Amino acid sequence: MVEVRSPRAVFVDYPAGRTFGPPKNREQHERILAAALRELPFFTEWGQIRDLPFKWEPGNQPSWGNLREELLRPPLSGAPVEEVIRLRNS
Amino acid sequence: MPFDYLPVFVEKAAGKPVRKLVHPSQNAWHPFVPELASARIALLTSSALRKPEQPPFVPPDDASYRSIPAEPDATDLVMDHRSPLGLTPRQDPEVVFPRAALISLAKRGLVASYAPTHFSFTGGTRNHHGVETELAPALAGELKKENVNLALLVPF
Repeated sequence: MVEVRSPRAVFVDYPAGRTFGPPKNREQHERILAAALRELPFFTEWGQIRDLPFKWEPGNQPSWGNLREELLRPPLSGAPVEEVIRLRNS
Repeated sequence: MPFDYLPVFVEKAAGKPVRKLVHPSQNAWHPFVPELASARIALLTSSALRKPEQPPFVPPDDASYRSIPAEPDATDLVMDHRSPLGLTPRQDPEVVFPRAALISLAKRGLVASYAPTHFSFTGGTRNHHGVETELAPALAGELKKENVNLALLVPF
């Protein structure tokens, strides 16, 4: 993010893929979004990253500890990507 | 803690072409930021979310985008991003695409309004040229049409 130099960026110290917190926790999603937006007036130049004061609660799943296992899983298939590629190439 | 998983990314990428750090060719800074009380906000997500009836994204080089209604109840969403980290956003897209939270902030008066449409595209791309010359200008045009004066990108 530092090298890409987004015009204004905030950092949330949460496991990757859960930027706004645990699923279904609407209050937490809202708190983080509000906090991010309230940082806007404090940016003075290109490339700054401001930290938001949120910490991942130990009881949330998954923990940081088993994030490695999650990251090393094979890619998800979910949507029919291979099928789309096959149709485009046929 | 946030950098602890970078070695895991390196481990996972073993055998694949090395990613190159790409610098933008233009300064993205704009000095003007609206007051939140007058902000009209749109969300941008690189998680490749889309409506089920929209054409699928084809990661990793797809530089297209999809329009997503601002109202979460308007449609189901599916996710074409293939990262294993996508399991949680597939359960609840709000963790990377906080449409409900934005609506709630607007109802509470923290922000003035939100655009009727948000936008989704594919992150993790190696098609940097396409992002800069096709995707970004197209998104800027869409945001202008919706009179958006503040866009929030949530990277995935």
